[in-house]
Amino acid sequence: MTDKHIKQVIVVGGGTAGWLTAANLAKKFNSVNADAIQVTLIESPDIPTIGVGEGTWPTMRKTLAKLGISETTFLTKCNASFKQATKFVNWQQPAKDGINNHYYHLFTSINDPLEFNLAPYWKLGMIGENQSYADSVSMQAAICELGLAPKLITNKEFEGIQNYAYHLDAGLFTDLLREHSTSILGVKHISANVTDVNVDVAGYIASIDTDTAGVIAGGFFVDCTGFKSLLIGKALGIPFKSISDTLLADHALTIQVPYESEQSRIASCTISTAHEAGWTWDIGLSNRRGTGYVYSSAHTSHDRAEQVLRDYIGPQAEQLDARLIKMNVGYREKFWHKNCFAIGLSAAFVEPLEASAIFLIEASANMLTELFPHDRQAMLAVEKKVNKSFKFRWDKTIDFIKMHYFLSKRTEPFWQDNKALNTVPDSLIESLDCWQHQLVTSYDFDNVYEPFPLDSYQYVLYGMGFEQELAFNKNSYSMGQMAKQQYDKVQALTQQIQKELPDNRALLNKISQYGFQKI
Amino acid sequence: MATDNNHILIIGGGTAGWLSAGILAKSLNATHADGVKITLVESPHIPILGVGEGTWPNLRATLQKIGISETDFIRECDATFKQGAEFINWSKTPESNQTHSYYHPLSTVSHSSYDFNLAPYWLQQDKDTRLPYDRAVASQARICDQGLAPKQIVMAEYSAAQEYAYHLNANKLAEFLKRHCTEKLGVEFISANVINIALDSEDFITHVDTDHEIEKQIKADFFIDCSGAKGLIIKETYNIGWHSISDVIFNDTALAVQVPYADENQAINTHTLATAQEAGWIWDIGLQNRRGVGHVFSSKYIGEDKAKQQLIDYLGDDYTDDLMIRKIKLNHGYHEKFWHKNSVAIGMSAGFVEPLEASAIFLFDAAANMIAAQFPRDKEKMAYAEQKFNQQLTMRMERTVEFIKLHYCISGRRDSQYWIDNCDPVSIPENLKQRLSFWQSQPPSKYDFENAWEPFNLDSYLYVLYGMGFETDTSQVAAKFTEKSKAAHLFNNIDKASKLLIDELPKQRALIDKVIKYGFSQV
Repeated sequence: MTDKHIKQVIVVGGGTAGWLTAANLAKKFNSVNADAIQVTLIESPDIPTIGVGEGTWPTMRKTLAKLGISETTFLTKCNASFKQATKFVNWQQPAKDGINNHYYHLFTSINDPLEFNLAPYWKLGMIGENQSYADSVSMQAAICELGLAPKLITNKEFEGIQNYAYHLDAGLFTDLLREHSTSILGVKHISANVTDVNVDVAGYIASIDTDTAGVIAGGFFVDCTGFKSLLIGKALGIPFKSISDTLLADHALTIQVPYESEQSRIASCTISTAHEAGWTWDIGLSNRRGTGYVYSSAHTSHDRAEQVLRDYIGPQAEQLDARLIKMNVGYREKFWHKNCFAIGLSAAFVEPLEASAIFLIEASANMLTELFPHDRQAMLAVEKKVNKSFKFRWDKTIDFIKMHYFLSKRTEPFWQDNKALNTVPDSLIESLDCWQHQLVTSYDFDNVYEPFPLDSYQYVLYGMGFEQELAFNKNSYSMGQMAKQQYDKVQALTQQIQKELPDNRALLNKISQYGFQKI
Repeated sequence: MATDNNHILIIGGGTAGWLSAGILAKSLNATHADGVKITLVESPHIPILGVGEGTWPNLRATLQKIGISETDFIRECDATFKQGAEFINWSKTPESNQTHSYYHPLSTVSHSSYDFNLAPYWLQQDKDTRLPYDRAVASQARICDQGLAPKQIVMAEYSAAQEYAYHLNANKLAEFLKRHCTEKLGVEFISANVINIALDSEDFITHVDTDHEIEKQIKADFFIDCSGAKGLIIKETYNIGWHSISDVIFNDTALAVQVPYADENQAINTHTLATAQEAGWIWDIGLQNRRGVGHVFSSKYIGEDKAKQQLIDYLGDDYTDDLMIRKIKLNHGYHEKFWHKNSVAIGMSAGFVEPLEASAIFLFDAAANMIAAQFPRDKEKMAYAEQKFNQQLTMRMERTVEFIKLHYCISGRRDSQYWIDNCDPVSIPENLKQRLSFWQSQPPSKYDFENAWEPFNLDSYLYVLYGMGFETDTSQVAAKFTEKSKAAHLFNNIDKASKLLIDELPKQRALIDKVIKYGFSQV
């Protein structure tokens, strides 16, 4: 390179990671302006994206708004629906006499537990006796049980009465992002297969060879090539660190399930149901459900796994095809190396139990745009920062997912093996040990980029029936009056809000017909 | 669960001791039989090292939490409102009688730099015509210029129109807290000298011996060392290593003086003044009834007489021969750990950093709150709490030192060896050096502040960096900052809001008088 300033960013690979990153970069750079840094995305015409129904986090609302995509367009084009929580069924223990047990990990709480934490009052039986933690601090579980939407048609785009995220069809989402990125944000799209990655003497990527579009040079490369990890893995040789000794599931079987009728309820939460050797997801899009069974092949056969999934779906499953996906859980030892940053499956993969995949793509794209280095000299410091930050985020994500398994009282071999101490990260053991006699506090969250906040930990810990002994210090929780008031407010609002919120499907139908108010 | 960590003994009063006592007694419910009992033993002889002191906004939350009325507090502690600090003559060598200054206000930038950072847009404005950074991005500098208070008398206690902390008389605060702790929060008080600290075979403290007639021996489960620089537990008992920072912060002496107001109507500054000198800096803090002024300097670079003369020159006509100037030796540094076995050091016993950013009381408050939140009622869990506490407090000390050093090491002053040496890279901590090097080509962003407990946040760094005239070359990264019209809109709003606030807020002295006379409405 003669001019040391980066003028061209090459995103290799389409899919959610590629297009979301390209869109964020182009938006930030203002790439429609010819003088601005340009963003080019190379996408293979032959590789289908791994498009399962996917869940997001509430951050997606901000991302879409920032990119200038209307919520109405997004919902209708991506067959998207609202997600307000994950409902964990039979995770504490197997169903007894056909009766399921469940708990909710919600997006909304009556107040921020960092300000005033209701947990000790609930745990000590001062509020919500005989009631779940979630129902004591939020009305959102009741809303999900009734299949209601988080907002009204009269609410503005991206504004909710309850906090919410989305379920979406990843393939369609990619199509929407491609269209928006190329026509509005100035991303250049090249449809070609990568045949080689050229690395210069200093170990930086210089260019990409393609089969039909020649050599594509650039100053910075984003590896969104999925599991193949063509740039960071294959060309730059950054090793992959498996975490299969912590997260034992290694396969997923998926089946797309049409709704029985156009009136069938669309769940406004993800339903995650534990089974003998893993768990199933059940995600309601506007036109169909996406289901899948994540399991450990060391603990069950593929045939048996397919049977479990079909049993879960019921008679409807008979006509439907199942697709098997091999999962390689773990992450790269570095996400950023020289002038290459891996985002998406090329960087890491953990099972979708807490829908962290798209969230971490967004987080990566945000950090990249904010810290984008103008030349190679500036790259070193950014590389260090990004690697440190994402190593931390992935480790914490893994801890949090593992916690769901570790706290379960299920006894099948898969579940027992999950509780073997040598499969549990030390950091998780240490935290749980501490929480046995102490609330989760802000002091447990030193890092502002902690992926799961205190609230999330409380929903899962108390939902799973974690034993936390606070009685010895009962009297230090002296705000009982205020706790009772908050609790009563939740109960009153739970009754009231049920009358106000529309049915999830009804709202989705209305949106496709009329749309939301624009911001 | 049987608890075996049920009684805390605090050794030493003062701000650190009584603030810790209040926070712990409230959080651990000392008045209840099942709560944690809190005892404080204080020497009847040792005078408290009380200069006029500045605080941080978190003190408001703490006072409120422990059940103190803001009106009472202001009345009893000679307190006034503090909205930030003005740094005078720090960025370059002052030219004859021409001063220059910038503010580090307490309000975070109104649009919050975490969501939208205005700094890069400010950096791209024309250097000759743009507003100074502090005025461009927030209203508070202009409010301080006018000597206006951060709120109105009709606003509830502790609520604010502009973020604020206090200037206060630390001796009076300690007395005030002592009354509150003993009368309302169930803290047991023993006036005695500690003459011995007794350890068991594993070096855990079992009790202390005192010269008290009755309470000759005080047993407890956990001990807090608030004995000041003496460090009865941390230093004298455990001999924990000391990490000196005198190679980073050179000042080793302070000369302090109390200056009465000329008359009852003299304006009271609503911010701290920090004026750089040849080999140090002078603080100037306005309490209700007097100013507290002091010269912090390095005796390696300037003699005490000259330092004293500079202080007198600073005071000008306000100096009279009957004012007593008190000398205080400063020992810059902190212990290698703060929590050891069943004891923890809070306050001067833990460490000392000069008051340039008023971090002392903040750090006591932070330490006591962390202990309160994490206090293990089971001795077995102590090791984990110890490790976390030490790790976090060390980080806070390191970052505080770095932030203080920032004021010196990017200065353009070259009028003395003191300033030249302060800019020598060998005196700059590694982390700060790395940050500064990064920020030469990129404005600071939220990604530079990953730790939730970082004492100085992004806004603070932006104020000081760009107040001091730090150069970030944005020409390289300009391509990234494309939201120019949004930035222009925000700049414009800030300008408008400033004018509105200036019309609405009362003068600091007028509000203080009203608080004394009528009080705020109670929450």
